[in-house]
Amino acid sequence: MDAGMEKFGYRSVEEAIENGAAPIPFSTDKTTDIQCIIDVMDHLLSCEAAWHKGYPLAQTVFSCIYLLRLERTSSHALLHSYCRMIRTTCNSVLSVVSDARTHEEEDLFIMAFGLPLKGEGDKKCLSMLSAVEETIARQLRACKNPTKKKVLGDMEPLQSNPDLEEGYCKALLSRIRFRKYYYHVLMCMRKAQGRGLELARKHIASCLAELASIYGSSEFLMANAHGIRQAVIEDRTTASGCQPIGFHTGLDNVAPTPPRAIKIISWKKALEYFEKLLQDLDIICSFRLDPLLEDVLQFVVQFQKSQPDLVARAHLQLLLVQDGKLYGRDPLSDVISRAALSQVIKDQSFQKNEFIIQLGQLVINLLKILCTNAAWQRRKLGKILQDWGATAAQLQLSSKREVDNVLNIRVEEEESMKLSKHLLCWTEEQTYWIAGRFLMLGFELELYSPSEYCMVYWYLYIVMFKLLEKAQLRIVQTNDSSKKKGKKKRDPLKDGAKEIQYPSHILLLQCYINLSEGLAMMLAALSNENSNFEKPSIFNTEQERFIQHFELLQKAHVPEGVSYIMFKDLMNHVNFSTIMRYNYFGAAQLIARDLKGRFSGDPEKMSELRRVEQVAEHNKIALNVICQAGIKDPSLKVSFEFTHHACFAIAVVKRS
Amino acid sequence: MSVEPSSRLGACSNEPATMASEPTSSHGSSSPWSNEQEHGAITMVDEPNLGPASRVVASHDQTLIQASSSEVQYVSYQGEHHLPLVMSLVDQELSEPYSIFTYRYFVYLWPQLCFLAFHKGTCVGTVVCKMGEHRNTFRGYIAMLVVIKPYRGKGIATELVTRSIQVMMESGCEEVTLEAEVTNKGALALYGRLGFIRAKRLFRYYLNGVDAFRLKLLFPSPQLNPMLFQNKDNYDMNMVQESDRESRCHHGGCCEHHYGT
Repeated sequence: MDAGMEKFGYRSVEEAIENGAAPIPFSTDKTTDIQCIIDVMDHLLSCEAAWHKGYPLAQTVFSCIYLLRLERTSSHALLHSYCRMIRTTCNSVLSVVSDARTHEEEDLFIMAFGLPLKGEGDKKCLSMLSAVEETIARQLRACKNPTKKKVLGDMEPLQSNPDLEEGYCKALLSRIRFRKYYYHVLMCMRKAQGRGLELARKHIASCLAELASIYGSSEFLMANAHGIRQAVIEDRTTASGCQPIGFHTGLDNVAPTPPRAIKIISWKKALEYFEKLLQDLDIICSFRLDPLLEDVLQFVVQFQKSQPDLVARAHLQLLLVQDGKLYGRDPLSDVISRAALSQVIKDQSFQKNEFIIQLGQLVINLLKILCTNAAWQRRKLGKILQDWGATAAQLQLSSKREVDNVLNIRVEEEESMKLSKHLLCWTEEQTYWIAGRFLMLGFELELYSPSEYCMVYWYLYIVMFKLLEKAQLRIVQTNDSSKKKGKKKRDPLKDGAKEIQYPSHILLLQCYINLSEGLAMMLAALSNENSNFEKPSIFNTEQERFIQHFELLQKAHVPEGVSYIMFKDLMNHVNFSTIMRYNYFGAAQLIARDLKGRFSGDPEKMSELRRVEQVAEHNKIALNVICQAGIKDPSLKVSFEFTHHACFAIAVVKRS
Repeated sequence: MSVEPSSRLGACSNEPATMASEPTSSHGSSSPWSNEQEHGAITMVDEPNLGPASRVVASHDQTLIQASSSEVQYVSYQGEHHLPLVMSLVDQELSEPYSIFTYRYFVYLWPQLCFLAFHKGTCVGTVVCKMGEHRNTFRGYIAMLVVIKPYRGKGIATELVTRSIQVMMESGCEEVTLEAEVTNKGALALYGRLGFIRAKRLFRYYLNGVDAFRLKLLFPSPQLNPMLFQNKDNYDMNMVQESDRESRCHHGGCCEHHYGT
């Protein structure tokens, strides 16, 4: 037996039930009965949040004996309908996550171990809960206005204490309604082609209102609490602070679980979790289902910045990729032609082109990977770089072959050549985008140590530079094509004089390039001119660390020809006077300022521009301070922090 | 506004560069447990999941023992009588307990990679490791590293782990890996100083829900870094190792490895 194995409580559900661990009703006293069921509801919410956070279903939601033997609860309408709704919701969430496969492969989330997640009559869970809700709503109306009681008929009160009737009715109603709206949200979000998103947003708003109401009931429930109080009030899993009845902490024959006790998250944290989940789902629902791949990628990256949990990410992934189409609506051939050629080609031979099919699969994989957690995402992005690189190589070969035969070319071949060229440019652009994301995620995941920042910023600079180059080339290619199609005679002198207006995202990319370059140069100069800055390790050199960090990029030839020797040759001669001359940070600041006008309607982009400006400004000052003080000054200490931006550091200069 | 990309840092031009890319090492990028990470199969028999394997907290405790480095003796694992010492230290300090089979798996198969630190007859630290083939790479793995609280901050952990890595390198390992909790700043700093990089972040790797970093140390190879092997006398690493050996002998003549099981 594993040394960490622990044993608790009863050997079986039956033994627990026989020993009165899950009584029905909870008490013959109706007030106590209501208090107990509210505790069960609250604890189940904490369990559900803990499950979403990665703990096994068997140790969280299905630690509830009532859920494990749902048929026993049929005499208690409130308990029965609530538990059935919990079970149906869990099943729905589980199927979303397992369909999307956004979970870590060893994740416990989808492991149900034969737990009773489904049952006959689960489809009626909503109507059953609505019936109970209606009864309690009438009880609430009756207690609020005793004179109308007769009109409402001989309505039995919810419990025996008239002073507490309103409070308990409200506490129950908010909990029941939350479950109802949450169920609606999940159902709406699963509708094909995002058709239920608008309605889902309304239910999300109702859900959030009920959550606030649940939170508000805490004071009343605590004041009238009964039974055994939970030991640590901050960790309480119920609003009342009482121990819930009907939960086991470990049964041998329920399901195999890791041999460790787990800590269910507190009720307050569970409420916060669901609030965040609903807000994340709302962001997904507000997405315009843009057909432009570039916008989809930007949306997913932006969405991931709020660090959504597994369930929200799974919903996003299922929305993006359905039946092998974008949103289950747009065929991938359309998506690629729109992205690469700026037009939708409905031609069948285009749709069946082997490169289009191959790229379609790569795009689907990319979208799925972008919906996983940051750690897994980075690993997978690194791996798919090779696939993208291989496709680019094939496209290059294809266009070269066609160029070699250019003298004997037919019209169809000329078209095919053009297509290969466009696709090659777009494929390379995507490859560099993936490489850039791979490198930037390394900062978010804290994978780089300060001694490695220089090589990472240098590599990032090169990758972004290549990305910019490809993006510009694509714009030029698209402009050329549209000019030819228009067949208008233009004055070449006039055209030449007209400067190409670059899209905002390209200018933002230029900002990142300037920052990366500036930081790489500053770090190289520090390392070259200040012996305190880097300390060698005894077992290997910087070269081994370079090889390890960029192994996947190098394997995929992203970009071709980059090596440690190249890095070292360039960096060995960098000094502060060179950096001051080129003014990288000043250039970044200038572009960021210009861009503000273009992004004025986009608050997220505006805050990104502010961050870029802050990084640039701060590093500009730091550079001046270092140069004025003299870098050889041994008392000068330079460190790097990520206080303004997740990927671009600021230099902090101190005197010791 | 036009964008004029510069090439001051050596970004490649549109044309494919003629310079060949650096050859990369042939090893995979995962640890002995990457199969569990990537395929979900946890195999307790061959590859026990060790939890927060390498826990070294560099913070200074008020109850620190005043022990000079020369008073600490390092010995390699010498047999069954050392096993309870190793087990007791690990059980005491690491968050996840292991069964005796886990310990035996390591110390029976790789006794030469297990070291213990003693101060005045008391075992105050230990390191437990393994090595073997992994995806065509001969790889070392640091499973457990413990120094008891009063003795932290004295370089004992560095010394223990350095000895193990040294043996791994001499045995032909191409790289060394381990996992450490992302919150374990002391361990991360220690391994960073030794040349480990943070190769991956493993989401909620430990049962306590904390993420792990997979740390990797790649040894220089003659193919990739020929300069290092041209003149061994000028190689910093060898110089460090030589002085390291001297200091070990000074510490009490414990540089012999014992393979008794």
